[in-house]
Order: sequence, then C-alpha cells, then structure tokens
Amino acid sequence: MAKKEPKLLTRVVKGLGHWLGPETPTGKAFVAAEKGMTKAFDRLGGSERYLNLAGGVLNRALRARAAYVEAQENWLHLFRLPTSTEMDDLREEVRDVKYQIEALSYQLEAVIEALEKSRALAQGGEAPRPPAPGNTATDRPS
Amino acid sequence: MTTQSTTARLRAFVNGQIELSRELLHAAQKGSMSPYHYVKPFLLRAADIGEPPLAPTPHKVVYTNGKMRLLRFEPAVRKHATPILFVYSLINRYYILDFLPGRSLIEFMVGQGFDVYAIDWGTPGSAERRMGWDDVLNVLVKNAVKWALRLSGAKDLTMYGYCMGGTMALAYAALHPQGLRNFVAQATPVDFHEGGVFAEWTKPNRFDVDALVDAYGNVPIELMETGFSSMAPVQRMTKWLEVCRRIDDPDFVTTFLGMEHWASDNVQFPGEIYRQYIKDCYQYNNFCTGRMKVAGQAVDLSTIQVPLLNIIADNDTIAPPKSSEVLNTIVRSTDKEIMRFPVGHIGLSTSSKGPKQIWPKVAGWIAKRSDPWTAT
Repeated sequence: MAKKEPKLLTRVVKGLGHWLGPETPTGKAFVAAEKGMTKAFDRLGGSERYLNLAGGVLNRALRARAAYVEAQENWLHLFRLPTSTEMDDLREEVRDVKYQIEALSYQLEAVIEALEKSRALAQGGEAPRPPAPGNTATDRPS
Repeated sequence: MTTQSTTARLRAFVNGQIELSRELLHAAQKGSMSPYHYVKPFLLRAADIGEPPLAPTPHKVVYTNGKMRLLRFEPAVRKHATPILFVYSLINRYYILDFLPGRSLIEFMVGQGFDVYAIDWGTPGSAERRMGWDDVLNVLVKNAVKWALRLSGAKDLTMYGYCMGGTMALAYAALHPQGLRNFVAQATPVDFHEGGVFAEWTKPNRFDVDALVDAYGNVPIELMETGFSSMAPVQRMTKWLEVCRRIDDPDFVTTFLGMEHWASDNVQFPGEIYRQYIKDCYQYNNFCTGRMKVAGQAVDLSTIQVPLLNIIADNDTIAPPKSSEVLNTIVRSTDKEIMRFPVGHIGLSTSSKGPKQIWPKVAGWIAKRSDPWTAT
C-alpha cells in the first residue's frame, strides 16, 4: 500500500522544526543563542539587584492600584452605593449561612439515623447504615 | 467529477481557514498569554489528530460546596477497603492526576482496585475571594474526608496530597488526625525557605502580598502565568520546536498538547488564602516551624503519626527535594519512607515512567497498609 503524502502544513511544521533543530547549521546557531539567552535569564533571575528592583516596581504598581480601589470605594460610599468590599462581606455571610445549613443537615441526618437505630432495635430488625463519620456539631468552624 | 472534487476540496480548504481564523481570534479576544492557544490549532491540523482526551477515567460528582467538587472514581473490581482521597493544589486544575488514557495516576489506582476520590477546586471566582485556610481545611477538606468515608463504607482513608495540595493535606492531617490511615505526600514543599526561586521572589521586602490582594481580590490569571513563564522564559517558547520536529508522532503530539492544555488552564487563586499561603509558607516558613495557625489552632506537623510516604522528584524546581525531604524528620510516624524518582515536578504524574516505574511502587506501598475489601 502506498504511503500517504503528508499535508503541506505538516511539511511546513516539520521543516521549521528541522531548520531550527540541532543537526542543521541554522539549528546549531539557534541552540547556541538559546543557551546564551537561558544563561542570561538565569543570571538575571538570580541577581539580588534585579529582583529588588523588579519587586520594588511591582510593589509600587500594586500599592497604586490598591489606593485607586480604596479611593473608588470612598466615592461609592459618598453616593451610598455598594462597594466591592461590601459585596465580599455579603458573600461571606451567605457562605456562612450555607455552612450552617450544611451542618444542620448533618445533625438532622444523625438524628434520623439514631431514630432508625432505636426503631430497628425495638423491632429486632437489622441494623441501619453506619452514622456519618466525624463530629456533626463541629462541621462549621465559627 | 474532477470539477466537483476540486470544488469540494476548495470548499474544505476555505472552511478550514475560516475555522482556524476563528480559533485564533477567540484566543486573542480572551487575551490568552500562553502560546498554546495560538499554536494548537496549527499543530492539531498538521498532526491530523483530535483534542487530547484529558481526564478519561469515569467518575461521579458525590459532593459539592461552592466551586469545589468531590469526584468518585469507582473501580470495576474493588480490592481494597481503604479508599484514597487526592487533595490537589489550588493552582491549576486537578486533572493532571487523570491526564491521558494509560498515563493517568487516578486511572492506575482505580485499576489496582482502590476506591478513589479527588477534590476538584473548580475555577474560583469573586465568591471565593475571602476564603481562607479555615474554610479550605476545616470545611471543604473535612467534608471531603467525611463523604469519602461515608460512601466507601470505610472507617479511615489514605490521604494523597500533591504539591500545594500536599501542604494543605498535611495541615489537615495535623489538625484532624481522625479518619486518616496513611498519608502520601507527592512533590510537597514543607520547608519553604528551601523553596527555590519562588522563595526568592516572594521575600517580604520584594513582594507585598497585602497590596496584591487588596488591589485585585483574587490573584489574576495573567499574574500567575507571568510567574510561571518567568521560571524558564526561553524554554517556554523553544519547547514548541520539539513538537514541530516530531509532528508525525501522534502520541508525542497528543501528550505534549495535553500537558500544554493543562499548563495553560490557569485559574484565579483565591485572594485571602493566597495571602495566608505566601505569608505562612514562603515568607515566614510558619508551616514548617509549627507557627501556622488555622482558626486559632496551631498546625503542628510533629503530631502526625500515620504511616507516611514522601514521594520526591529529583529534578523538581517547584518543590525542590530539599524542601520536601525534611518532612520525614518532622512527623512522629514510625512507619515512614521516602521514594525518589529521576523526573520533574509534573513528571511524577504524567511521565511515561509513571505507569511502569513510579505508580506500581506507590500503589504497592498503599496496598500493604490498606484493609482488603470483603464484599458483603
């Protein structure tokens, strides 16, 4: 059976890989350049001076943005509009309520299981499924 | 006939070009920084393959809380009563543990007869902004343990933490030892002052994490991506040439694209927990020294007494061996072991050595310390 001719795109992609591969002169030059750049970046990444400088710039940019967010929230307060911090507070409260409902459902299950167990004991039937592991009362940290 | 076939080929070509342009435009509109989104359409066409079949192991969602989901991977033939619970990092997605068919750690463990559970943290949004250690450990992980035990019918389980997930799982094990039978820490940083480049970059004088969280809430994807690409900026681009050279090897291209898909599938890091993680771990090393607190309770790793397996990747730059191996000297377990493999951080879960050399040893260690399954 004749081998299927590869697509033009396949040949182009393979050609690019080959052209910059370590076995061709262009590839050798590319690999040398890659090694040089890697070495340079490694030195830069390990330089205390560079890291302090880059960190300083990043921190200044972050603090400026944090200050902008704060100013924005102050303006929103002025117009009695909800801010993103207040929305976060609200989300936190909703999450707490969700946790409480969850803990309550566990407690309810424990009660039902205890009831089933006592009913089974009274009837002399088979034991119900084992209770949920863990302490139901401590499901939600306060 | 010839005219018809020429017309059909021309139409297919034009349609292909339109589809390709659409994919590239979509990636550009999303503002993707990773080259994956721009190069993938070309490589898929050149290699004549489909999307990588990621996360292939069948599972059920058995518990959810917000964005978090607990997944259950049931074996066809269960051999061990003690289930395994995987706790993955909040960075990237869990499916690196269920990578590709034949290259999936979860699939392997299921094949060994374990009842497997995995926490998928999902894609955090603004609702997760204020989530801290307390929420993650005392609610989400705790409930995942509870549900895994309840569904598997076991009284205890093997907790399997990976990377930052390992750090969180260790904190959990120190706080809530009940229900834990064994602990497996894979590529888990413990001594963060040996944490490599990340420890250098996040020093308190260089990185104001409070300003970042106050400014953005959650850590933006772009910032996370910039951090990862800064680790090896040149290789990040030139590695694509290897796939060009091996474009006629569909298995290689599929694995490569699968890995790149996962690596570019970044999620926002919940702000509050990021603040706590950077301070407690990288900046002040509280986690290792027993000073880290969760809801007022100290996390003391020396209280861990369950059998411990510490899996270390020799070429790991994210959790360098030095930062992980200290764990065995801190815990009080009498049954503890270190396994080292000549791979990188991700290679522990995705390399071709996984199913042949790494996972059989790990599964053997866990099986020896698990109860056998007796069907009732």
